[in-house]
Order: sequence, then C-alpha cells, then structure tokens
Amino acid sequence: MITKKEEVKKINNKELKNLEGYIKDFWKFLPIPVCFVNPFNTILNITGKFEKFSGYKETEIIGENLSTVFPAQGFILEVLADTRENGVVDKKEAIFITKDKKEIYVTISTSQRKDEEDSFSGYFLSISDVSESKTFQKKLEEEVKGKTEELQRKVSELEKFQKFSVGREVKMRELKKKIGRLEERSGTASSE
Amino acid sequence: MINKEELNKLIEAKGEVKGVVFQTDVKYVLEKEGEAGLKKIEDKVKELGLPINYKSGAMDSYPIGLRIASLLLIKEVFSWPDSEIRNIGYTAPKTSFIVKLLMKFFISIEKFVKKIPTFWDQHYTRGKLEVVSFNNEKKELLLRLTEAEIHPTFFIYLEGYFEKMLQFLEKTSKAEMKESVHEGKPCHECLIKWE
Repeated sequence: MITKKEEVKKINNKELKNLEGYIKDFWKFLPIPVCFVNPFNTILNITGKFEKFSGYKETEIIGENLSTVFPAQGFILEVLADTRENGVVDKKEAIFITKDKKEIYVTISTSQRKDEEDSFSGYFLSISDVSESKTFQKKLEEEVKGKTEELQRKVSELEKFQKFSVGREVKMRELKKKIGRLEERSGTASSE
Repeated sequence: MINKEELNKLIEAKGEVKGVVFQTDVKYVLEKEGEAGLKKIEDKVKELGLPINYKSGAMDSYPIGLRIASLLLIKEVFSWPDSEIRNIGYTAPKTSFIVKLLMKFFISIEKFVKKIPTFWDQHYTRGKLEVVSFNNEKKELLLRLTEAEIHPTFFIYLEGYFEKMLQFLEKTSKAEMKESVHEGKPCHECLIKWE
C-alpha cells in the first residue's frame, strides 16, 4: 500500500524528471552560443552551440574562467562590472578565441541573475558572430581608404598641373607684354 | 577482479544515491571511449545483473552501493588506473545536473562552504558531510565525512570531486583525502587548499 507521502514524492520525482529533460533540451537546442557565468567569472553551463562555436567540449570549458575565450586585458572584469551595475550589457564588441586559437569578431550581451536574497548570483552571456559583417566593414574601409588615396593623388596631380598652367599663363602674359613693347619700339623706329 | 559476493554486499548496503552519478559516469566514458566503450559497460552491468540504468534521470534513486559498483566496473573494463577514477570525480561537477541546480551557491566561498552539507545530501541519503574548519585567510577548508563506509575507489573519486567543486570559486585549489578518527570512530577527511 502506497502512502499519501510516497505518492506525493513519486509525483514530485516525475515532475523533476520532466523539468530536468526540459532544461537539458533547452540548453541543447538554443541555436546561439550562450553560457552561464558565476561572479568569479567561472563558466558553469554552456549551450550545445557554444561547444561547436568554441571548439571546447563541455568538460573542457565548464569550470574555466571566461578569460579563456575572452583573453583581452580587463575585458571580462569590465563586462562583470557593467552587468552588476546595469543588469545587462547590450551588444558589446569583443574578440572571441576558439580552442584552436582562431580569433572571431563577436558582440556579446549579458543579463544578470539574482538569488532569492536579491544577491547577484551570476549572468547569462550570449555571443553573436559578427565576423562576416566586420570583414565586410574592414573591406569597405580599405576600399574607401584606397579611393581616398587615389583621389588625393589626382588632386595633387591637378594642383601640379594648375601650378604649371598658371606659371605658363604668367609667362605668356610676360611674353605678350614683351612682344608688345618690342612692337611698339619697332613701330617708333620705322616711323622715324 | 570484481566478484559477485562483493557486488551483493554493495547492493545490500543501506542508503540511496541519485541517478545523477551514473549520468556523470556516462559522460566521462563517452568522452574517453565513445559509444563502443559505453556499450562495454552496459553489457557488463547486464551480465552481472546490476540494476544500474545509465540513462537514468538525475533525481532517480538507487541503492547507494551502486555508486561504487559503477566505478569498480568502469575501472575494471578499461583497466584504468586510480588517477582516471580521480579524474571521473574531478569531471563530474562540470556535467552534473544537481550541481547545475545548486550553482546559485557558487557566488562566494563563504556561501558555498555553508551549503557543502547540502551537496552531499542531494546525492546520498547515507553519510554526513560537515565543515570542520574554514579559514579564508589561510585559504584552507577541512571537510569530514562520517556515518558512511567509504570504499577506497570512491575515496579517490571524492578527492577529485571536492577539488573541482572548489575550483568553481578558487581556481588553484588542491584536495587531499585522508582517513581519520572522530569521536573514536573512523571517518574520512578532505583538506582543500588554494592559493
């Protein structure tokens, strides 16, 4: 005979099992790299996409400091401070380093978590790969730089040409004046 | 080699363990030996008629001795040295669902230390884990495990487990388990130091 207490325990266990499956499936499904980080900046949980994006297995990266993937000096402390202060960080630019040391331009967003005592208990951090748009932007910047240099070169050529033309004009004027004077002089001489 | 008599003794031991320990064992075996390795373990469990379910839910309950049986089987099937068993313990908190549920306590070392007995109770219904001393200035923590017989293989596992737990907060921690006596009774203590 099952007592009421045992029955409740059985139901609770079933609910817990469902919840476990739900949480695991959700972290596995999330199609973006996300991790949960504690106030020590230690990574405590990651999505399946984070594994693929970083190249680290769950067992390799959980328990490691966030600086493993964001090694820029002071960056993660800044993120932690901003998240604590404002609750969120929105689209901050960063460079993510994968397990095989590949640098990827990303933007990160965070959202803080608080416990039942309203103490800061860590934060979620999501990563968006912006390397394509960053590469495009770089290419565009390089093109603009190239065109600007070309333009400057042409302006400089024009300036030289203008200088030359002006010099030529002045010379022509001087020569015309000289001819005029000579003509005047020769006219006077013939009339004499 | 693990024998039936030893296994029966383990299964008959009083107390329960949560299925999460089998989940973390599976993760480790899969990573090291792949699906073929897991099949070897499952076949061995079947051969010995043990009620271990490696697809168990984290909160399902099993006889406490199966925690040790699982480690002994893994050790035997792959001929792994003790260091590998320590590493299973070291890796377990990283993938443990229960640890993930309790991660809210990883916010300060003081808060974490207060909750250490909870971590044990969430996994095992037998044994009592208590904090003997905690000195944040000296960077030392001494834990004592009483009211439980600890198999030498589990002893090694726990050393790795405690070490990793502290590393979630203090990266450089090192744990060392030793047998001791408390109030005239044998017990186990774990000294964890960090820099």
